[in-house]
Amino acid sequence: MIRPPQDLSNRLLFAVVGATAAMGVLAAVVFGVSAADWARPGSPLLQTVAIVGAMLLLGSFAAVLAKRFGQPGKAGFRAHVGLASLGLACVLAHWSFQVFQLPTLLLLLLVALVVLGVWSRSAGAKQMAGTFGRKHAAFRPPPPQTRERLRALIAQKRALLSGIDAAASEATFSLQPRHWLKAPGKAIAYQRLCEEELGLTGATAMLSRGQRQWRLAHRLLAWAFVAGLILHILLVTFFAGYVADSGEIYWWHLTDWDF
Amino acid sequence: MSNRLALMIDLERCTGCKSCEVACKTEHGLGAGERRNRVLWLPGQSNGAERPALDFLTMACQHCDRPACLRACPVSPKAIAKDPETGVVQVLEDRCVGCGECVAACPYGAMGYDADGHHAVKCDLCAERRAEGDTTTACASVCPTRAITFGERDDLLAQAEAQGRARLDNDPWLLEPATVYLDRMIGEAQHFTAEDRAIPGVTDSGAFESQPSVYPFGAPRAERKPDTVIPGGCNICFNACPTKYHFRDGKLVKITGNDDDPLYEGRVCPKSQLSLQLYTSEKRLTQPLKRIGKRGESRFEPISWDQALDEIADKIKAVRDEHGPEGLGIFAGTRTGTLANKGYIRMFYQMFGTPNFETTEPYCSSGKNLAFQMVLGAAGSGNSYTRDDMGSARLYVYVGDNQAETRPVHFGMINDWRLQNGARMIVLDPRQTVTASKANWHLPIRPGADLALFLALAYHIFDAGLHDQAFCRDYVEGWERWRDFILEKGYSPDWAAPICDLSSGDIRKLAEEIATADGCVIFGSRGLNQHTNSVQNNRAIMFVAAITGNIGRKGGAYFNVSSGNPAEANAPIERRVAPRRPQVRTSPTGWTDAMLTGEPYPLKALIANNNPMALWPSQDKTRKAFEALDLLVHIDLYLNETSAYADYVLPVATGIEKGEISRASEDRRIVWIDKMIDPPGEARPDGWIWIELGKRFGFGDVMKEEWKDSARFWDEAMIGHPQVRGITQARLHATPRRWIRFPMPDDHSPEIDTLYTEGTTAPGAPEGHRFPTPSGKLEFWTEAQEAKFNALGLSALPEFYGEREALIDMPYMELIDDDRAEGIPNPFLNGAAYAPRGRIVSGENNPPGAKLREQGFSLELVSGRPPAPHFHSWTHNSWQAQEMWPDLYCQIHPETAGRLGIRDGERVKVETSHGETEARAWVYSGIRKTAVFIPIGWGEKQPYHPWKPVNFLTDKSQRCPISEQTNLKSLLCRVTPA
Repeated sequence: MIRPPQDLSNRLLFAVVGATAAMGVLAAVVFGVSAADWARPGSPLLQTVAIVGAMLLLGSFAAVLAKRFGQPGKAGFRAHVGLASLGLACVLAHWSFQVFQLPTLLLLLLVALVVLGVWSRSAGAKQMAGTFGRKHAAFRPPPPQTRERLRALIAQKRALLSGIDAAASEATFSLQPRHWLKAPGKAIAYQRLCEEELGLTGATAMLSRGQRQWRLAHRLLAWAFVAGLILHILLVTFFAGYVADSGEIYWWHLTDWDF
Repeated sequence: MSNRLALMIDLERCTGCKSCEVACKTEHGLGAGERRNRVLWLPGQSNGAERPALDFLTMACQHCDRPACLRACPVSPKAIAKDPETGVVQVLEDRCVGCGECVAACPYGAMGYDADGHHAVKCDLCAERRAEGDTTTACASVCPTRAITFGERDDLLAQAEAQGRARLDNDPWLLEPATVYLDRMIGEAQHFTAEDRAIPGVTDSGAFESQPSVYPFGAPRAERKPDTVIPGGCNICFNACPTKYHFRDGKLVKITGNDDDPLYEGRVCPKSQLSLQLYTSEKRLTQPLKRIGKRGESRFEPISWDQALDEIADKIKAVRDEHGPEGLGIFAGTRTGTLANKGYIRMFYQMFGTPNFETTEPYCSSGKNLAFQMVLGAAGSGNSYTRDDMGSARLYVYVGDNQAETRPVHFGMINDWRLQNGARMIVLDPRQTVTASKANWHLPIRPGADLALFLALAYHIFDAGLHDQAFCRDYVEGWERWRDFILEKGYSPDWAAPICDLSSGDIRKLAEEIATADGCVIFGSRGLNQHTNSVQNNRAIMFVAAITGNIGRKGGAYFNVSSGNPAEANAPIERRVAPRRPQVRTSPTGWTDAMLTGEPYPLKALIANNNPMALWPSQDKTRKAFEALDLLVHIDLYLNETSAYADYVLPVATGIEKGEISRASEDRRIVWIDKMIDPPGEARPDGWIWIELGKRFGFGDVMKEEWKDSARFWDEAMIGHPQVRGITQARLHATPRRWIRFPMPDDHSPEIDTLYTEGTTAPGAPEGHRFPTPSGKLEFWTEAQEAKFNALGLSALPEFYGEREALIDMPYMELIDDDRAEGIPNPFLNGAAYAPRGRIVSGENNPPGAKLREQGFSLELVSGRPPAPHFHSWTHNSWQAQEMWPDLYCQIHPETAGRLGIRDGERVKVETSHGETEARAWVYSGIRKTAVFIPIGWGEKQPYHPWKPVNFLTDKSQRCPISEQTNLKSLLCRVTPA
């Protein structure tokens, strides 16, 4: 009579991430100890694995963004977890336990992303649930100047909103991608006001640092990883000479520029 | 928005019982850690006397017009929606991705989160429930105090204005919330403010424990939608609430209050609703067990019922052969139920011939039972919780009775009537309990000083000529003798003030308020009963009620919890075996020497029907005694401390799994509860067990097989007494509320809300006897009573004595006979039990208390009931009760805690000269600076939050010689950081 899970359960999350990561580590070890040419990270086999991994990770990135474009968020999340886990396994295999290489930093970024994601869904989720009813400072009247600033801030938001989405009501409005594209300057100004309002209410003051910052950290890590991935692809494809550092260029590439 | 819906939450009415939390989780299938509402306990941390030390804030979504949660939602389209018509803000759970942005953004902390399902959850004012046709929310429907009301916001605001109620400012952040909070109304200085308020560490450790949440939690709503509803009642506490049991395809899915009952209107406390979790708990015992390890190890093997009962019977017979039938003790009570205590078990022991059967009465209420019998001639009050009776009082005085937490529904009714009628409430208690937090006046009396107060109240009433002279003259026997006695003794307010640690002016004022109120209801409870002067405490306060004309009238009464219903079953006289000797002691605590030493005679087998290892005082000795038994059988719902020592553990049914009546309700109501569901596994009803055991002793012809059907047993065996003869199954089932008030001599008699009113004859009494005493009057003193009191070393005229462990030296009770001595046959029980003789010892010449104080035991320990969701040890197996109140706590004043280096929420060690335990500190300015409070109910073998029970600190030798109630309210202790 255990309660049925309503979503991707923590147990399943741990299983999926753990199993794929284990597979990836195993593959990395096997490839790492092997002296065969095909076991090198840039071999046709592992380069293909790397390409598949990168595609999976980009797919995972796209899946989590789906919620912002009207797509089902829960399915997107499941795809995010599944694709990211498989992508991690591929990247680990491609890495081949080449510990003291620069791309290891990229792998560490990816591992940090996964760990943070799993934390947010397990321990972080429990912390989230534990915040209920713990912000009773809401019944402690703020200083008059805070209320005045809030009043002015709301008026400023309403004024800005007319230039962002004239039909919208400030009471229920939040910025969407189309608003950023349509009026980026006003969107930035509006976003700043939103953040100031959140700060004035003190709504996040009692949250742990992890609760407050995990989502931002997860996004920053993701963007850093994407940037690193692009850089890695550019280097091995166009600057193979630089990457080889006078060694053998055994992987597929377009140019062997060096600098 | 003209149809904006909202909750209105009245801080003056809310008692923090958390019934709304249970109703919400049940309604919406929420699991552990998942919340749509929560009651915040906000005690003050300052010592400002002008403010109440305790307030409650029921938190749920405020349904803002500018919802921060909705604006924070990053999903498109949004996973949070606001209904333009009603203003209800709702999470669309199938769209929510669980990012938690809304949870972070809500400044009220009113967004919940399902950490298993990974999505936000929040109050939507029961949208699905309303769509199905219900007119109110789950929380409002059960609220025992009517603190929560639901409706259109404009209507609620109009109601508040019509009542002249001030509203709490709950919009500091300009979010335009819909929820209406009504502020406290007991004076400008006591208005609610969050300043200096904090959530106690013991309720808000921040720990979120993922306990297995069991059905129906998490089940889809369609699977939980009831198709059948059966009325019944709750048999957990003395409130005896009418309830409804909701079924889906034969499966019990929900328990609520009975909204068809015009008196209770669906009010119910958390415990009744949590009964479902007692059934679905994975910890329930489901098969008989036999011990295979050492006592205390909790190692068992499962066996069949036949093997268990055969072996138990053989061992009992061996004890009987060697030591006589009195070698068997049977302890029953709280969990066991009335039909077992006063029916099946009673018939068994009558035919077996042991005098050693006892319930929990000597721990709870035997003192008040005897006092009521002596003074009134009946075991409880003749009044009722009706608007005409209790509701018409002008003054409510609570003495050592925290009714708001122990009988939350009845307190809700009283508080409602108080507020409607402008009546006053006064509470005398060493700590500001929840009850005291609602009072107009709280007097923090010294623990154990109640008798001094009552004597002084009477002194002043007589001295000032405030007594009801006509009533005394016509209806009180021996009042002049008592008046002369207390005047002669000099029990004046000036004398009592230092004993009570109250001012003499306050004592006089209290006496005058009681004497002049047009109807005063005085409530006593365990705070009076659990003392070595239990009987005299109760008699003295009854005397005060009587001389002010507050007995035998509507709106005037002395209440002390239970009404003592007379239903019982008896074996035929010719089959009864007269005990060869009196009961060892009426308090089972007094049995432990007989178990250990064989004196005054051996007691070698015990059948425990609940949990003596948590309940009996002097736990160290109790455990040694149980190790010395030849046979210990434990019948219970869960494995616990007692099971660990048992030779056999028998799994039993809860009240709703066997067919049962409620506990002895406060106001003479007998509530019938059908057998709603089958017990789990091989668990069996108490009646089944005793009938089967009886067969092995040849009692099968009397304890009939067909009486395993408890409804039939009720009709055929339990209602022989004239006062309950008319309370048949047919009549009980003819009423949708499922209860009938006794006396009810036949099927057609009307119910009587108020007994003993002027011009009436008491039920069962000779014509013209207004009260059912031998004289027909209230009896303060008679020669017969005096002789009985004298035999035990006391006088029928209550003379002051307190407790021997106190911060001042006062006269105290010393038992002349220890538990190995026979003592004398108790004259108040017709000699059926041995009683220890006592003597009042003056508090002079370095008494025991002074010696303890020299050893550093300088704080007053008070034990008592925990908050409303808990009841003894069994609710500790409900994950939700544990989620609400997880840890054993020790309330301690901030100044005292500061002096001892103790911070809120920290673990502390509490020691008395009798033992020690640990608990978490609850630093609370509402308790006397010299006192600490520890609740009962926790135990070392409990599944979620095990703690050593408070009875390691208590002392079995401090007992009332008449009732054998143990002093559990005034012991000297010391507290240190653990």
